Amino acid sequence: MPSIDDFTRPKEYISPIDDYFGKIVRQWADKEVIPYRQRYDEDWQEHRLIEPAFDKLMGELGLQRVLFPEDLGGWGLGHSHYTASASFRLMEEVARADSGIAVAFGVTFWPLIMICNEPHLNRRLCEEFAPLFCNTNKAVFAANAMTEPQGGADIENMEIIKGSTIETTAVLDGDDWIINGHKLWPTNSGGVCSLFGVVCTTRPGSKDLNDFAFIFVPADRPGVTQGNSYQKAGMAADKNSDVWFDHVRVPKYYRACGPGDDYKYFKEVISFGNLGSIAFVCGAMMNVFEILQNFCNSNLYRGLPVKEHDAVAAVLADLVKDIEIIRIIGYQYARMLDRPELYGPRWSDEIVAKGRAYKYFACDRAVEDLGRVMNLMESGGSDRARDLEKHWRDIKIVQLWMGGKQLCQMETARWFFDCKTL
Amino acid sequence: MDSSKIFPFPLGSVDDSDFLLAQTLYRWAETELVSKRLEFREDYVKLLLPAMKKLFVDVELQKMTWPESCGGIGLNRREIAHTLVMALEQVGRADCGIGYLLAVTLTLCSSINFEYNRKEDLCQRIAPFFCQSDQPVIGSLVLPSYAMDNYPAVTTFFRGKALPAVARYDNDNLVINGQEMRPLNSGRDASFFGVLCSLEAEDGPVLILVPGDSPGLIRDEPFLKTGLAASNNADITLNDVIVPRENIIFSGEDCLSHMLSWFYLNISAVSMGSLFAVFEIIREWGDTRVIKGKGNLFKENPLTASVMAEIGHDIMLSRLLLYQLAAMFISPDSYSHIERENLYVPALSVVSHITQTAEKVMNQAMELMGSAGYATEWNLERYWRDLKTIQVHLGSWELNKMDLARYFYNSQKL
Ligand SMILES: Cc1cc2nc3c(=O)[nH]c(=O)nc-3n(C[C@H](O)[C@H](O)[C@H](O)COP(=O)(O)OP(=O)(O)OC[C@H]3O[C@@H](n4cnc5c(N)ncnc54)[C@H](O)[C@@H]3O)c2cc1C
Repeated sequence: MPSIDDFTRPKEYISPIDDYFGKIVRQWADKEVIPYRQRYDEDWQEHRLIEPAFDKLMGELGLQRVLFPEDLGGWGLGHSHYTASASFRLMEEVARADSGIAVAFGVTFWPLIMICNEPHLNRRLCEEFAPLFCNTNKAVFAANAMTEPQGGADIENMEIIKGSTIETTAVLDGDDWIINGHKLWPTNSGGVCSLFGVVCTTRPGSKDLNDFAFIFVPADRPGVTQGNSYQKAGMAADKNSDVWFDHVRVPKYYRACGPGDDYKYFKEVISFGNLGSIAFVCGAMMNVFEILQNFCNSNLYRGLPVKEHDAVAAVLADLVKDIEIIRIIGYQYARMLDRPELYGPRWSDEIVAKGRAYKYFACDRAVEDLGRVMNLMESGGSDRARDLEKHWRDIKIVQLWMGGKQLCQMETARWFFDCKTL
Repeated sequence: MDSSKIFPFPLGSVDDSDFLLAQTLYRWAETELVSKRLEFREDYVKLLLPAMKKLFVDVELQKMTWPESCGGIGLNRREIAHTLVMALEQVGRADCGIGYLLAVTLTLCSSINFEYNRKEDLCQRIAPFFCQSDQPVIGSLVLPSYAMDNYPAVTTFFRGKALPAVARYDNDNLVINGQEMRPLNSGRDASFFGVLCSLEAEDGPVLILVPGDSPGLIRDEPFLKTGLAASNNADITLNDVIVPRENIIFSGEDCLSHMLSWFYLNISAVSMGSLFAVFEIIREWGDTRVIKGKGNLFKENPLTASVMAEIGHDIMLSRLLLYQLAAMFISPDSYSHIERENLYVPALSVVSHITQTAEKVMNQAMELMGSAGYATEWNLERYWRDLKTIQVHLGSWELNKMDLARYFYNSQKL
């Protein structure tokens, strides 16, 4: 019988390490996560069960190092032609086991994109932060602190709002930045973060793109406070909380790329966020396929496996059709990010808009499909022992974060139709 | 804000006492649940059980449909369909799980105590439990499910699914056996189970009332599920459980369809209530949230307003359908074909429509609320989980559609 490996992968342009990465992570998932994940929901505050899985993946297997240059202890993925394709495979495999872990893992790279990726590699900051991630066998988390109490979508709606609603401020004081502000929801907060990438403004209310700043803040600096984790519908492996920056002092060179460039390359961060989101959805759907195969073979209707009922089979077909398409789209987008010489810069409005379109397509399909699959499984669909409902709860947030569906729609329409005010 | 007042329904169908009951339930919700939610979230012991006790015992809802002669309130006529709907809307608005338990309990009871199908002996024996207890008395149902590939040889099938238990006569008693059956709710603490069985010499399924304290009834540990925290559910096993013959509530497909029709009406009302709650949450969000820069209120943005409009539109149409269905229960003679089809087809259609609409509405509301929609604190995600759990308990839509096809197209082989 076909397995998840029979869903199409674009063999002519996957990364040479795709299979290698895939195998390692698949083994880790089957051994370290899948047997325990049913109890993750109750572990949302403590992470007693979840933490060892992170340590294994990020610390012991060393995957938290991949973006940093080789001479600093990393694997050099930041300057590879396969950054995005390899990331897609990694994230998909992790999300197959638990999309919360995938998010926490993936977001660790999110702020680092600003300094590790060519052509805007910031050698000094790589040297500064590489040891934190590369000289340990324990999981180390970074966070991308964008969202604020007054709204996350506006901060991401950069073309129109241009950072004018950002309330977290960065003020130069000699050779230091002084950061003040209140962030909500960053993945890997709630006490686990070691390094924040903070979206802030050097002039509140300004629409001048030079005033948009992305500044690194180690979590142990005086004045940084991470609140308690929020309780949420799913994704227990991802801790989110309030974060306060109260007169936090960091060196001037902690600003990622500088005036204008912070804004520009932050759009690349958004592109990778879209890619990651598609991979999370795709990975979760892979596992849904596995769960469903099992269910449909062992549960009978009119004496035959449920899958032999024509009307049921149509639902099964809809699911696999969407997995196929989402995966192809995901790899295609990865390819677009990996080959800027063919598709244009990763930070262009075009690439961001197309990423938004793919992301909301994938999320909408996944939310609808998983709802139907749960329904098909009747009371088994809501039984946590089956793992299906966990994916249903987890992937819903992928649709909501990064500005939500409506922002995706607006950015897509804006680029394709050249709208000026959306 | 009680949003149930915003969405129209036929006023002529309800009377003052229905409004009074709805008001009482609104107050119950505010004091017992809404005001304590932040502190206790979904805590069964600290929040839900005390709230259920108030509702079932103090507000006397567990006495509602028992005849006065048995110590009940005497609302045991089909004419109470609108009263039930209005009450269950309010309970569902407060907590889908409690609404769901009440809906199942009332469904089970209505098959015993409603005037037109009253089982006198059962009524006399069972009513005191509901009418005299100072604790919530919960009823549950065990319905057909998919068979597993290793199903026991004695299994009997009904409309393609396995009947959960097998019963046989033993003089004046029935002996019932069924392994690891999953009830609709409350496997851990239901006082009565209506178990659908196959019974020798009977063609169709037979619903038998099994008291929760019957020797041979084994309750598993509770299992974890998506939502409905008020339902402390667990699989149950019946090993040679003996009950009197008179515990047969009904036999045959028509009676089962009739009971399911009431179940669907009740569940539609609970789901409707959850939609009111969601509407209230999204309305507050629309009134206060700002997007697209300072000064731009959420509800004034044309795109978000259009999604919010769809939400309102869907809720409004669902409520009209719900009251229309209740009207069919009250006077089936006024509708063509109702007698023959026993309300099952309209009830299944309406409950499927309302629960699917509710899923869509809740998904949209979450989209509009970003992270807040996903955070426990805002409650929306709880309604989303609860509603989905209710929906899956109605059975697979793909297979339920076969019932509709049989009716509409006279399909013979489905
Ligand atoms: C598990 C999880 C992980 C997260 N990780 C991170 C993280 O790593 N870093 C971080 O900074 N944040 C993170 N977030 C926060 C998340 O990205 C934001 O919640 C999201 O961007 C939406 O912002 P908001 O919740 O403030 O809602 P709002 O900004 O108020 O938006 C609410 C809704 O308004 C609508 N809307 C917004 N803009 C427009 C528009 N222009 N036109 C029409 N409609 C619009 C959309 O429907 C949107 O969903 C995370 C959240 C969760 C739950």
